Amino acid sequence: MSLDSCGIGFLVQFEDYASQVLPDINLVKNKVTRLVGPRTETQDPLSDPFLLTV
Amino acid sequence: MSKQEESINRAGAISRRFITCTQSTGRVGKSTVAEGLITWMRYAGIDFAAVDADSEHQTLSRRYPEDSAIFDATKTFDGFARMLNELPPFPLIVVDFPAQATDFLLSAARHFKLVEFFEQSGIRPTLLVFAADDPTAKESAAKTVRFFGDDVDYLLVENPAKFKSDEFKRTALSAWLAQRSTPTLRIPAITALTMNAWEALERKLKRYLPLAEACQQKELHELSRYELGFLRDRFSGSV
Repeated sequence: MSLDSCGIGFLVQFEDYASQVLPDINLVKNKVTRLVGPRTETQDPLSDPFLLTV
Repeated sequence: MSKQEESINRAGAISRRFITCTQSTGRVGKSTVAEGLITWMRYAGIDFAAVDADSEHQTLSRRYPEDSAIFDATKTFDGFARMLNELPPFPLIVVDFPAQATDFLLSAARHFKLVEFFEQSGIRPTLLVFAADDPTAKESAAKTVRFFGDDVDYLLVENPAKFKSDEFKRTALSAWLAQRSTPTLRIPAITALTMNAWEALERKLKRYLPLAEACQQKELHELSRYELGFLRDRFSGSV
């Protein structure tokens, strides 16, 4: 089933607050796969070639 | 023991949840939250029913005709009572009331002793409170919370695309909700420009436009399509 109409990040919140929106959290049969987050390239400023003094 | 826990214990076992918003708010994201909730419940395998009590817009019944029942519940007490009498026997009931109905709903809640009715029926309500910064929305939220107090649960909704200031966070109501560790649901940030264009296109086409389809709509500005595409790509990759 596609979840793209709302965004998984949004849906995860309902799961996180299940006790607030469900009579019993055990009603959840399928758990949403967690997205770790968008991968961002990090550069150590000490070794960043663009920051080296030339 | 918190006041909410005391209330829940007094009520006994909860067999059903009744989720709604009684705040007088229009175009703040109520449909988005309802849609997100319904999408999640379908995915999670939770039996639910949607009650469309907004006879003018009929958003839920148009989008989810197979899961929705329509009730004209905010014009007369008879209509309100009919809705309560015919609540579907599902563990979760999502009710969409129209905007600007706070006074009627609170009058009806008082008339029918709704808190006691829910307690006796094993129903625990969850009310959505939008952290809106306009005075009408704040005032109706305050009226609602003053009426129901700790007899219901709350879910605070932040919508960064619509609410630009921190005004709600500076209110005593916000502090009251924070004292009770009220969870905050945050609608993914899409710019108001894109949201408005998306909603305008839905009105023009007279139908619901899912995100995946909206990304492809040439009638939306290219920048809006890129923004929606980024949201789709970011959130749809792992299921």
